[in-house]
Amino acid sequence: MSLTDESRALLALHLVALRRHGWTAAKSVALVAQGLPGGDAHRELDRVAQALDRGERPEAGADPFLALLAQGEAAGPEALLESVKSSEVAWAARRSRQQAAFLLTLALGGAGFTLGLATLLIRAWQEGVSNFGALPLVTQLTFDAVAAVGYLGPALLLALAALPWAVPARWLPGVARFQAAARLRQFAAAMAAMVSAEAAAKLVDPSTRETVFDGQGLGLTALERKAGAFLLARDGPESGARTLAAELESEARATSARFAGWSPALGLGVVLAAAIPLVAAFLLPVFAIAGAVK
Amino acid sequence: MKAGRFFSVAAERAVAAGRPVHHELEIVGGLAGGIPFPAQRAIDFARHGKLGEALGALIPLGFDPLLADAAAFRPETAVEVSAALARLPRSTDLWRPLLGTCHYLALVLMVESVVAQLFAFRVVPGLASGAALPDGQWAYLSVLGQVGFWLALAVVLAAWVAPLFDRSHRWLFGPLADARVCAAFAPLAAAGVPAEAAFELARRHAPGFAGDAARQAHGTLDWPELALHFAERAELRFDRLALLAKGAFTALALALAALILASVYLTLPLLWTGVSPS
Repeated sequence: MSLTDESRALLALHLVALRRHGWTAAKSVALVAQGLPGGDAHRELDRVAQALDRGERPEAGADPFLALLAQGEAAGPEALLESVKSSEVAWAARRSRQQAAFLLTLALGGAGFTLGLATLLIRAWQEGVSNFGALPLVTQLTFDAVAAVGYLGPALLLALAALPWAVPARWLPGVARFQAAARLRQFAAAMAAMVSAEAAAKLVDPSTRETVFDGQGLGLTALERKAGAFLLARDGPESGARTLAAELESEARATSARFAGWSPALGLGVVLAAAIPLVAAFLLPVFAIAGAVK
Repeated sequence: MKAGRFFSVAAERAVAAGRPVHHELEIVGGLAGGIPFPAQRAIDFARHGKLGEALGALIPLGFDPLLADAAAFRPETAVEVSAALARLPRSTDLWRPLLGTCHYLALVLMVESVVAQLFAFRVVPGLASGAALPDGQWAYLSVLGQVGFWLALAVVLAAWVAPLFDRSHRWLFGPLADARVCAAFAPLAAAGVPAEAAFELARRHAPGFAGDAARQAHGTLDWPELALHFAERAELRFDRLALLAKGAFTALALALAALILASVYLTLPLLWTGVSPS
């Protein structure tokens, strides 16, 4: 179903309000579907509402939100609110990814631009500067490097600047934790809607074997798997998933904020590092000349 | 999840469910591959029936001190209090925008310092060698370079040291402390904890909030709403502080750059005249 996480959260909140006013699941889903413009989402929700109205169990497919709605009356306000939280966390994951990718792109793009400018200036002035006489070793090495590499260095950096948008989102700071937390919340929502633990686990991670915590899809660490199993044994799968999700969210928020705090200095550092050839080519000879005059 | 948090979460759940804390912590120790010292102390306390001390011993592992006190009043509310506290920003979250700004500006000051030192020690001595300059004329540059270096260091140190003094600063941390106490009050009030007992928490964790008016209204206030209100106020104060620091440090960096530039350009003519402008 082609709905953004924000739209899913909003739809689920509408459904919570309607259900709390005593509306049936079929009537609530039908009303929410009417409010959507035509398209996949409208058709899917309408199909679910009609099936529920006929007293049938609609085919949900792989979409956890539709699977939740397909539970009909069992998907009460509590389950829907858990689904809202899941959508909000998934949204946070996307924002975190965009923020990290944007900052990395800015830093690497800035570095690529600076290095490109340095290469251009060095190529234009190399001969003139060489006429000053014996050049410092670092300057000579910089000239040699520019002659050998040319614009390949800046081009590589500019290509790297696009990489944060191409790599899997979970590689960026905080995103993997947010994504795992969102899936665990989906699992808790499905369980609150009376889906069996096994089916709910398969819904959020098809690679699970026995419990939601033992699959590879969530990307949990070994300790988190053990913590999940411990919480599951103590409080049951739904509560265990919620507790672990809350921990992961807190960790993800901290990681994401830490990265955002460091990134301006980091970005400036990367750009300054790319400006080193400029210093080596144009300032070091001046220092050398100044030293020679003395 | 870090191992320390695993112990804290297990203790929190054990307290709420009435399970023996020491037993649960020992199991977690087996799963986590060892028992850290604070957890071992908590196990010892819990084994002797000292729940309050046991939870207090877990604070270095991430157990919230307010939660430890709230759980001592009504253990069964531990999970709800923990969830309510988790919804609020932490003091470290509030400091982050300021830290980011300080790191960035420290780097800028450092670059200015390096430029000034390069001029002072590499460029100027050579250029000035033929001119009859008054003694120490170029020393200003070196001084400015050093000023930039020390300023950068001070900015970074201030950013790292300031959070250590946080708890006692009422203007800065008062709203967050109030928000946390309000968030903890909601489950406690729902569990029927009397106002006097609940306000013991406020006296310890948010003295500014433990006034008579709030105490008298204990049964009628919307605690979650109040918690959000105070949390927003805390965020606004930190935003103001970050904005102030951004403005002040930017002005400082610009002033230093202007002084370095002025120092170079006011003295360059002396190379030819050998006479100080003053």
